[in-house]
Amino acid sequence: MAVLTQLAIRRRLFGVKDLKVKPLLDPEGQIEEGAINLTLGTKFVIPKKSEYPLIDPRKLDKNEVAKFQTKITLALGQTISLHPHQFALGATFEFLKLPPNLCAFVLSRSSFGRAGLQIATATYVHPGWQGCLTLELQNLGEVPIRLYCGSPICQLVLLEAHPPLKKGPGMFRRDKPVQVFFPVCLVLEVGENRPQGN
Amino acid sequence: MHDSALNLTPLLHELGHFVDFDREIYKRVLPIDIAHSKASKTLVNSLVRRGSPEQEVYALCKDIVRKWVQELIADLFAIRLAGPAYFYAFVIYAANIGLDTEAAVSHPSPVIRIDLMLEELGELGYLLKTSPRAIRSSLQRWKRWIRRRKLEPEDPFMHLAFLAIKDNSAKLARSVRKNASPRPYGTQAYKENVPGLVADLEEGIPPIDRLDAEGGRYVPSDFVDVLNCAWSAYMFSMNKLEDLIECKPEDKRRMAVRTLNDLVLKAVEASEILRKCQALPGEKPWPSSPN
Repeated sequence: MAVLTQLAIRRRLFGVKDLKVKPLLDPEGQIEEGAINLTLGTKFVIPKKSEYPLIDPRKLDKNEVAKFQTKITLALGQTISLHPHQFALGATFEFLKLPPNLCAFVLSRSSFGRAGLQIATATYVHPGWQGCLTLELQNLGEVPIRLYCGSPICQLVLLEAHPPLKKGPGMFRRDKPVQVFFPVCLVLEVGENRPQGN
Repeated sequence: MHDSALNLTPLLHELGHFVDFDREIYKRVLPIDIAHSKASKTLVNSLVRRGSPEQEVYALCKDIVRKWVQELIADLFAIRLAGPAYFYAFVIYAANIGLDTEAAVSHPSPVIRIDLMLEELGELGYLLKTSPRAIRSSLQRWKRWIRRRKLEPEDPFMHLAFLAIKDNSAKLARSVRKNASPRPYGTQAYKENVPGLVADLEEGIPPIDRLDAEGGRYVPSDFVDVLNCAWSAYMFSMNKLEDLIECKPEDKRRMAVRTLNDLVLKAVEASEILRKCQALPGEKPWPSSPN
């Protein structure tokens, strides 16, 4: 398993064209040595402090998700403030499609990490996956953090997967919502994938 | 409206109204001589014999003509701006309300509008052998369908308005061509930009941009290219998107349309942002971070 360097990433993007990262707003700045910088998208799902005492994924009706989550859309360059210990779902602005022979890890950028921002907990991206990555944003620090839509927020480190998958898991398994526009809601994923009795 | 990508297309018709009022295209078409042809004169006489005062016939008919002309100008504007995308958006809408819906005082009937749009698409080259085959075949089917329909409204006043506009349809089309977009969406524009975007969409990738000929720069997709890509995929290749979806067979179509909608909305937003970023080289709408 080898990490793709800048040259290999460029070859996959512009030569072989089997790796898709769309759009690249700043190709020169975003493709770094060994990683692609991904930017923060414009759609967020913010949990509401509602009348619900707790979230029980096994008992929750899908249609009730909206009752404790608010969807918001901002313009590029607008900001969202994440208060201490606040959690929000965001998504990368870039849409990714990995070929069957590449997998990836999403990592925090260290400057944000030092400020106390955690950007993802499920950081592995399967070979063949496609969609906009959902980011589980959480401010672990003690002061609010201002996040700019469109600013580089995380890094995608690409690795070769061997042997390549015959068929990628794809984004279109409709037991999960598609991650194209709004980030995927927390409970839908947890609730539907966790086996009963676990 | 804002959460359905395919439903963004009728906005071009509304834009046509705005351009019409701004550039006063309707003034180049109106006033129209109501009883110009022999058929119109006969119809006016029959209405007068039935007890309608002649002045009232003309006044009512003029009002209908004015409203219909403005609607048809907006249709022609949208067709010239977006080509087949607007046509398909309209026929799907019309099929939902009923293709044989009668004309109203405010709007001509769907068949009258479809007939005029097909004429304009023909003028843009979409019925020629050089046009994309799927589009050409589908438009020819619509052309055959419209030949079997009765265009004339049942209502005698509207019938009179229809005849008056029909006599002046060439003048109407000329006025829109002269005053609408200087770059009509002809077959060349479609063939250059849309098939590549449709290929992306069929693979489940939002049609945001394409690499230029040298392969070093991303060219953001135009809004009308994205709409044409969306409608082409919707009309001719939804099965390819359905094949990408793993769900119950009975849910596939609905899920594919939802996915198409998500992908196209993403493309509309991201292509516009990419265009803005490329227009401001070196400037970014966000502060740079140290790492």
